[in-house]
Amino acid sequence: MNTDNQNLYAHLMSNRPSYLFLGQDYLRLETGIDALLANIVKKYGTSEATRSSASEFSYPALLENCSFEDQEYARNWISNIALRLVSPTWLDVVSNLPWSGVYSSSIDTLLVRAFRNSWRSVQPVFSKKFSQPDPRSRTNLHVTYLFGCIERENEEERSPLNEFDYIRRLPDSTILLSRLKEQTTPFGKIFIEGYRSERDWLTARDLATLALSMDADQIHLFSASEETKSDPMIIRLSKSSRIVLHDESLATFLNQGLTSGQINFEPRKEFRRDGHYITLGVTAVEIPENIWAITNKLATILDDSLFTSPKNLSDEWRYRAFKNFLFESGTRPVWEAYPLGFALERDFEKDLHNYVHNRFKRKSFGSDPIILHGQTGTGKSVALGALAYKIRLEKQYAVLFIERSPYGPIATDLDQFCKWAEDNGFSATLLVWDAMGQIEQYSTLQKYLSGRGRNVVIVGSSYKLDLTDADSESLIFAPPTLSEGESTRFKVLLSKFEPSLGEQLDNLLKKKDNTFLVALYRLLPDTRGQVKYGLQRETGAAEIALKEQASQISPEWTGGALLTAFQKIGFLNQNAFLSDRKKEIGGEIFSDTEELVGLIMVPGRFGLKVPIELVVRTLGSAKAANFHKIFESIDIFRWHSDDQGNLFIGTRHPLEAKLIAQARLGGPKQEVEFAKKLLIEISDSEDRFENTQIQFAADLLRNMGPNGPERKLYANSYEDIADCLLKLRLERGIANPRLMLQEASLLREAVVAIPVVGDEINRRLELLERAADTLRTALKEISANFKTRRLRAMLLVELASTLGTKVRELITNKTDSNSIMETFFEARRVAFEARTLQPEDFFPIDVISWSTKDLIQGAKIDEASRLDIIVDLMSTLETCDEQSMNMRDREIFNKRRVELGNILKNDSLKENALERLEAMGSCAGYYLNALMLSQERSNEPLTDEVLARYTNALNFLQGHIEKIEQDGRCLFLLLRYWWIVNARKPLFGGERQLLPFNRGQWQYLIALLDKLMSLDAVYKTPSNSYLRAIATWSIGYFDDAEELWKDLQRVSESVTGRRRVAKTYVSCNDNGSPILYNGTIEWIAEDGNRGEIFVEGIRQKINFFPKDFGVNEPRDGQAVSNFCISFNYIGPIADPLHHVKQ
Amino acid sequence: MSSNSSIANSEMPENLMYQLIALRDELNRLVLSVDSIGKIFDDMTLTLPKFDPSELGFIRTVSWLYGLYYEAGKIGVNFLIRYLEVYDLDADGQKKDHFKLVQRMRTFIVHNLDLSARHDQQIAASCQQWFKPRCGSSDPNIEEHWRSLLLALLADSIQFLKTLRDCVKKIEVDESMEIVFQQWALKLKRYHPPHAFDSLIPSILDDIGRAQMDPMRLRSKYYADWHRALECLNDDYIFEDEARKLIEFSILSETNQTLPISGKDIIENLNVPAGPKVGELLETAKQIYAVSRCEKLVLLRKLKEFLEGAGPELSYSNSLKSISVKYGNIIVAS
Repeated sequence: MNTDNQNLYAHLMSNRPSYLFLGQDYLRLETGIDALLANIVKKYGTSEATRSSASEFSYPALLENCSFEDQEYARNWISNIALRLVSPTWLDVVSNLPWSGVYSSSIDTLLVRAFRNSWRSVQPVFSKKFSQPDPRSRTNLHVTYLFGCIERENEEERSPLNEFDYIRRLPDSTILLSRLKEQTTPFGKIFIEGYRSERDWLTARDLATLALSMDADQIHLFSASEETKSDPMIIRLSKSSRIVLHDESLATFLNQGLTSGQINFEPRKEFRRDGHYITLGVTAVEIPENIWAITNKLATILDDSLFTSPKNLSDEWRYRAFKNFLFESGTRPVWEAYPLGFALERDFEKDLHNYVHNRFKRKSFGSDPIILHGQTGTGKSVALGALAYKIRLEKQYAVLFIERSPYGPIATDLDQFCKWAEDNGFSATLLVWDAMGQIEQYSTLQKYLSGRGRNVVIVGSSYKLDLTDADSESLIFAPPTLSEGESTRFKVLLSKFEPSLGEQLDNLLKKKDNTFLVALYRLLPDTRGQVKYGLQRETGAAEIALKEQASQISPEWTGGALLTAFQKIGFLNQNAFLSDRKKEIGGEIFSDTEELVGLIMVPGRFGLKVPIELVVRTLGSAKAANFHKIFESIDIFRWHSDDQGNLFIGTRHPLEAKLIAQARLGGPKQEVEFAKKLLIEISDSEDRFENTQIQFAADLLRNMGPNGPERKLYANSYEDIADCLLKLRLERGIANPRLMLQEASLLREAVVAIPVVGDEINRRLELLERAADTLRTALKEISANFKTRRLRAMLLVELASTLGTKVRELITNKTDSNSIMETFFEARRVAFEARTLQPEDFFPIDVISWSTKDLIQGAKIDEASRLDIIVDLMSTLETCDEQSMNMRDREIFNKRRVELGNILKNDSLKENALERLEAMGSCAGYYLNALMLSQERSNEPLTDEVLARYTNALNFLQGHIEKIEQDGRCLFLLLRYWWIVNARKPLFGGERQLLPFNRGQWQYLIALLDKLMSLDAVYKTPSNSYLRAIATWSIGYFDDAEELWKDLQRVSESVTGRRRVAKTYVSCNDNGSPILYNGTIEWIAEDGNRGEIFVEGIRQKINFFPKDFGVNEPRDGQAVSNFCISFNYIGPIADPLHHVKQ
Repeated sequence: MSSNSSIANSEMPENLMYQLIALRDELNRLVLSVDSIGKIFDDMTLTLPKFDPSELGFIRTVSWLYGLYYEAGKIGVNFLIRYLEVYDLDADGQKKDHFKLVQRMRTFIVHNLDLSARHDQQIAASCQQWFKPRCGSSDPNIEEHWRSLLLALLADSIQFLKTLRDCVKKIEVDESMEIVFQQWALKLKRYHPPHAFDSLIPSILDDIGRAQMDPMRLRSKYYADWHRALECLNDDYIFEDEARKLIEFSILSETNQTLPISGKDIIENLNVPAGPKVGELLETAKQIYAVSRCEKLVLLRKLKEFLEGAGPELSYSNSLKSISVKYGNIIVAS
């Protein structure tokens, strides 16, 4: 059997880029006649001789021998003929494969039709101007026409019909052809069919330009004609294997692969959009094509096909499958391994499973996400896969699994999946997101989904967290070492593959080695038969590296192992592209090979994968041309592709990368140098891969920053990295706001992390000023719209933090208080601006809190100003909704409250302080007085005695209304106290609360809210708007209320959690009993899951959900009796009485 | 295709079949004037189906329609279907669905499906989905069900042939008629029916001394492979030459000896992990064994020498190519 062909088949079945190039002879292959060309020449040939020999013509000859005077007519005519072309049978065979892309020198659109099918759409590319966000997508195939298309009329897109137009088109075709090289990458191959150099507009010289920029064996030309084979250029290219010539046709080659079982044409499971099922109980529910298509891009849907019954595996194959499981499972779940019982169940998995179940049972979908945390290499990814698998096996819940990737999931698309699941009977969805990310990202998604009423439990993963106040069912720790029970179970598991294996590993298991789980892959020999001769010895170096701590590793071993591996593949001989020439990086000497290793290992230690284009650019194309051979031969590296066909290079496991980086690179300083080498090569905005690279850079910076897993390991280099980003901005013109945010953050952190020494204050202030300027520039760069809202808020928060840090520095430097106050007020103003954009984001509040604390503890300010600032902070904290915070923010929030309490305790109010406050025009004195009267304590039961205190405080505030009516702090306090006194409950004190307000009280509330919201944007919160809408409804102004709810829906779209859909209040009489309504169903959605009721008496249409009422087959006009009306952020909703009574 | 069952029920299946045959003949007449094509449907040896009882009538009709579309009209029907889109004659895709359904239905009623296999699941699902709205059940089991289905199938096939007829008429008046018929003729030229091979097989068997082999069995077993291989060839092939190569290759595959070793022996004795490399080594073993027959242990030893000769510094892919040539030389020399 031909091994070269086997390799080609293996390549075609892999995820590596496979491009098809079709030359202009492709329509002649089947019949010897290009029907399109023949007909064109027949009609437009300039002489009778030409017309009579039409079937012999080539495209180059067409330009010389045909005349198209009326081009528009000619294009129409030719297009019409082209439309009648039928795809040749061989093309039907070739088009079955999931190509990464198709390039062609042909000019008809038959290709678009030929490649479009049930699982693949086709995106034609006629011009260099077409931007390609997903150029390697196999399900949205790009067909690039080097010479444009006959159908197009636009000058940039149409194909030439005379020699001058052809010459004009050449630069564009060259640019488009260069994309083929970029997209193929050193990992890919190009399969050429239908190309004859003497009959094509793409000359042998053009092809040579492409071939010479690529590696040997990357281009394969099929159906090589005698003429093509005798072309001197092609001969030279063939001799150097730049082009490999095949006599047989591509279709014959593929057919032989099919017959011999080396390839198949079945569309891969992930490509198919139809025929996917999830079993619910005993019923298989089909996932609609559109839901599959959008969700499958973001997540693995655990459908029935994922767990097909394991085949009868031979012992050898099971062993190999187990080794493969060890290899792969650190970064992504190997689903087929779970039914085979390959995964060790760790002790914490039981808790994880129980906590998820508790959430499902209690329908606790608005809680914090569950976070599995721990250092890398502790089995978190395997455990999360096992959790997803086990929950799906129960056949009650829909399950999604999101792997770590450069892109976060799209919340709106996940929402659609979860809604579909609920509508089809699944009581809830489990969403497992193994991002090793920050708590915020999980919480934000949880809030978004629960804010849309989705029944979803999110389980995420994170590096080890230090949270003390977290709910015990929200945080699960994955210990680094195996317990006795786990070791015993693991021995039993291993013995199933080879009886002696468990015993052989016993010593290692007993050692409590925290790298054991990762090292096991390297310990096991390739075949089961070798186990009995002992564990892997020849890779002893790897074994040592993974067993010992990095500091104990001899740097030589990795070099030795890699060196051996490189030599094995002939990498370091005279033909190698990467030389062993030494160069200095960060004060250490590295060879080209070691440079490559460093470029992958530094991001790899954080689990990050480097975009292939970035690696190629960083290494330089000459060195990069052959480097893929390393990746093919050494299993420390892994390459990945996403659903859009973007390619990345990563490492097998972050722990391995960390150890190798520590052993080989020499320390954090050198690691930073490698990171900088990558960062400085990030591509500019014209690049089609911008998003991937910017995302990579942002992720790398975040991981190397103080919030990354290594905390402040790289703190000494923060300024250095920021300088690199500045260089990127100024010299390469890449002014991306996300990177500017990171740049500023690093500068600020550089100041925070390094203690003040001597007279460096000016230098420190300079850094902070530079950070602030960077942020201000970034804010100017981005337009203010809904899409940029979050980014703007983040930039503003960072600016506020920078200014707050500056306040701290100024205080330390004992600068005059005016400068300090000025900077503090600017910090606070900026933080409030950020809060206006993201009302439920806690970061701005935190910045205000710690900068206020710094100020009042360190700055020399008078007592009245000091109290005013304290009151400001108190009021600000009161506007926060603790329930909507994630566990970490909640912990910080409570810490800030305690700090504030301590400050107040130590700060007895001096007698004349209130007078002086009033004298300086501050209402803080009234606020403090009211506070003292109420003696407010959080969570205090509202007894008569307590209510009497609140009434006193309320009377006090109302008695001074003329003084305080322009002060938001006091008015908000008044609102809260008024509510407590009249409702006898705190604001938002639970679900389905009854409000015994009379008309006058509702009107008072409206006036109070209007006044409050007019004072400052800070008070235009969704919760205040919600109260305003309920009050307006309650006094009968239904249309006005509807308008308010419409605004509220829009505003709360991205900012609120479960409260958005929670029915917080119920319409009731002034005696506190719910009002009962009757009505008829006005409208029902096609899926029968929601509708509207026309309510008698008030003559309004309100939302209702038939399931709430147990109505199985709702129909228009059907009467619904004795229901209540509850309110959430979406509007009034019909609510069964028993729900309200509960 | 939306066969209106209420209308269809008032019809007799025999009447519908007459309409169908009339349409088939009309289609043949329409293209008769084009010399290079001749006719769309070849003559059929299958007798017209009898419709009583309806269940048998349905099964016979499915087989007959399969013969009509996929055998007698193999090239023409396939060709015309591609043009339905061009002339906007099948906007909702129901005609194509009917064409596919006949094939699936034949598999469904003739073969024993493996419902754990995705492909068979899909066949069963699409047939049952077609049954349900037409007879009220996805599992037809009474005469009424089968009669409804029979009438619906015939009605659908009439619509299908009518659409093909409309398509031919559209081609006739199309400015590009000539190019369309050219392509059709070329498709016909490249089609080699089973009997084209039948005339070659006996002489090939004689030539290579395998005259005892049954030519019909050989053709039945390999025709689909031969047909697919020829379809993939470029225009300049000579049928007799290429067919001979294919037939000879198949004959040799039939007469291959079983090796004295298995993949399991390679895994266990040569410590090669299960996977494609085991297949490669089996191929090598086959080549060695073909030249010099030997016992199991000898063959394993030769394979081991082959592996060791590859040397640790060379990759498998490179070594296999170079060493196999070298080893081949040794064997030839020996």
